[in-house]
Amino acid sequence: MAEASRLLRGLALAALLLPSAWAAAPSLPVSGRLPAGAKVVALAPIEANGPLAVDAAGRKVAYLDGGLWSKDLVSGATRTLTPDRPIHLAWSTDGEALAAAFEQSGKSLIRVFDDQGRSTAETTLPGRVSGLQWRGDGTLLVLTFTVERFRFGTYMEQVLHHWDRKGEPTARRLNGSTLMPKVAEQLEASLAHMLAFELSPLQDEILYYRLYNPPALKPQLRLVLYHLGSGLERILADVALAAVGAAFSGAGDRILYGNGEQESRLLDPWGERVLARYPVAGKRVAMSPSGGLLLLDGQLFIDGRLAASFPAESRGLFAAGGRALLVQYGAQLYRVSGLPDGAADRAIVPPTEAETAHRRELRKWLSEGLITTEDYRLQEGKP
Amino acid sequence: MTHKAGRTVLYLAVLVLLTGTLSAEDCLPCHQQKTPAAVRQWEQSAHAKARVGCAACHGTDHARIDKGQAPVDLKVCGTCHAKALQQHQASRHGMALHTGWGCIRNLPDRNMDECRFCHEAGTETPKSTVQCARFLKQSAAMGQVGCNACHQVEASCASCHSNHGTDLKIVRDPNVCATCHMGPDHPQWEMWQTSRHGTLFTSAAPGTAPSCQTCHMPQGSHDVSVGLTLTSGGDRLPQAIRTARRAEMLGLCVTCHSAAFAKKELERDDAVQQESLAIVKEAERIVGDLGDHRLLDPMPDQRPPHPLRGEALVLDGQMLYEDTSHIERLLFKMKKYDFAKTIKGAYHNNPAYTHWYGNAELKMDLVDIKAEANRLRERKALLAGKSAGAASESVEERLRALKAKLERGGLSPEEYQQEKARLLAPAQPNKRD
Repeated sequence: MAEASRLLRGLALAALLLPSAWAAAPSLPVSGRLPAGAKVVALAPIEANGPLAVDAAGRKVAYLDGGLWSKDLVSGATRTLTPDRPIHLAWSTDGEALAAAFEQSGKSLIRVFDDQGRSTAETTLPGRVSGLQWRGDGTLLVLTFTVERFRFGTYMEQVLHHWDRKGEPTARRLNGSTLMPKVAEQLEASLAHMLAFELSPLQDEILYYRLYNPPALKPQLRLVLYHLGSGLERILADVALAAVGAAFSGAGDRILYGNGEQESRLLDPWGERVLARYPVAGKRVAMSPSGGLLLLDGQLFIDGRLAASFPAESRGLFAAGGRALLVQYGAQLYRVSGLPDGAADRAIVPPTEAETAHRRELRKWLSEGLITTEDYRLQEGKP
Repeated sequence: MTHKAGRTVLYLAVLVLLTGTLSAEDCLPCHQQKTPAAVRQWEQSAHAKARVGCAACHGTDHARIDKGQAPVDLKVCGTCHAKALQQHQASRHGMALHTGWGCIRNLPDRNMDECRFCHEAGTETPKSTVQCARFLKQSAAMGQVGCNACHQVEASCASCHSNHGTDLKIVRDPNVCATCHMGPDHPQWEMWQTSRHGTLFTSAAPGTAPSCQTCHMPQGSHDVSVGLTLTSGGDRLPQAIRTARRAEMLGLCVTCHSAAFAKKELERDDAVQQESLAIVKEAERIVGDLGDHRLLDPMPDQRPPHPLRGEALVLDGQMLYEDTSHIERLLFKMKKYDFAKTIKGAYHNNPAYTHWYGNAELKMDLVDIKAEANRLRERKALLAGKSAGAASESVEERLRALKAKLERGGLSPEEYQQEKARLLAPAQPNKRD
């Protein structure tokens, strides 16, 4: 049904725009010059404000176009998964499963699809989902929020759920805060996208946003680094409401965020040092796993230098270790391939399991204040 | 009520309705019947002789008086008795309410009129930031009887002087101090009563030996801190204050004793205080160390939060005796009862309080605390499924204990850095001893 409807809409649009449609396929506007070897290909029509997810290998993409679709970027095959409209999507780390969050009158349905598009697991969570992420062990982290209205004010709570796709999800409360009624009313529709979260590459920490609404001051978003093991957190920055994304680098040693007004910053993992500043509001940010490629409000930085610009309202996702960049602009999804990632090329041998475990333990100690960042750096290479 | 009295009451009621106020002379006809004892005491008082009437202290707004909104506190008394007010406020009595009260806003059945004890009327501005965790743990009823009845001395001259009498015989009698300065935590009255001073005071001619007032309120001073060299918790005051206070006390002692004798006696008592404090500190270190290693049963984060410090381990003056672990309860008794009895017993020249009620108990407390500490360490090993001697901690556990010790002041930052470097030196997080 959804496919037929899509076909009909496509035919109608083609009839209207036939001359120009014959003249040119959709293209992504680029200012400046992309690096030699880089290539832009139009992938699929997509809803501009819908969810978008690409798997780590850069082989599969899921998006909204009427209903939920997945596309194999290697074979070009597309598959409709459901006519329902999810608000968040995430591919499992091996790319074999896709999780989707659907809103259901104040609650949220989390459904997992296999690569054939079959639903393999689902659960219902209280509240609305503002983000979901897979862990390497095949479990899911889901961040939800609830807004309760009282005569005298509004109370918002954020809860992180951990679901193994079999039993009941476990929940831990991350934050509770009061909002002024007017602020709550103005923002409620956009909170599901505003309160996003990111899981660190070592899967021991998350970056999440909480709404900060002190009396007599304008509401802001507060970027928080939360350690999943110790349950301790540190506030990294207060940013404008327009800034809705932050990113870890692949090694987890850098954090990128925009303040939503005039600057984006690259921080060390503990938020103590600003490693680099970019004169871009950073309302939509993405970073390649190596940290060598950044996309800030459509501006592509390579090794810290501005290389080329896509439209400011475009958004992007890096995949395939930074070799692929998917860009959504308007109602079209593009793939930019062949980008040089010098940082990835220079990357040393991946850490061993023992080194990773050692690093995780040090990070936990750091989150609890048992060691300093200086201690961490001294100990990091001594598993 | 007679017909004539009834008419008078009616007349007064009409007057109140018309003017909203009462003059002093209007009070007696009614209050001779309603509060005869108060009127009788006032009639015999110096206030009556000096023609200081009801309205001078109570005001003339009967509605406010009825609602308890016109208390006769020390500010009212101080308008005439300025010197006494000044001395009182500078003394330990002047902070009694602060130490006895905490904020009651979260207590059930709170009486909103009580806010005025700590806050300026009509504001949330505290008069003092001092709060008392033990008060905050009480029910409203216990807080009233068990805390406020004594600690209200800060704001109420009537605590010692009585409400309407002014006879100085009342406040010159040591018994007036007994209501509060007795019992297990600070039995000064019993100590004095059974000391050489107290027994001579009772058995010999008046004036042969000193009373509480002789030494602590000399020449009618309202500064009860005269000559005191220790804090109420038994720690030494800063040297400059101590020197001045000691001179004050020696000045009092030499009215009966030689200066050399008095000095020697007080220095001997100082030595008892220092020796006893060292025992307390040893016990505090043991309990603090158990807390650092999460061996208390229960730990602070496993019991109702401390009213002022939440989940922190509190071993100082805000220590609790309820909702705590057994070993902390032993330490509380040691500090609050036995240490206090030892040092106050010494300074009040009472051998039995200094030794058997005080110092002996203190030392036995330490035995109990050490035994309980051993039990808790062995318990951890048993829970971990190890033999008692094999209890060991991971680097993480030891780092956590080290941090806890730093945070409670058990280590200097430099010592902490050295200890941490020593722990991290092998750089093997998963390794256990």
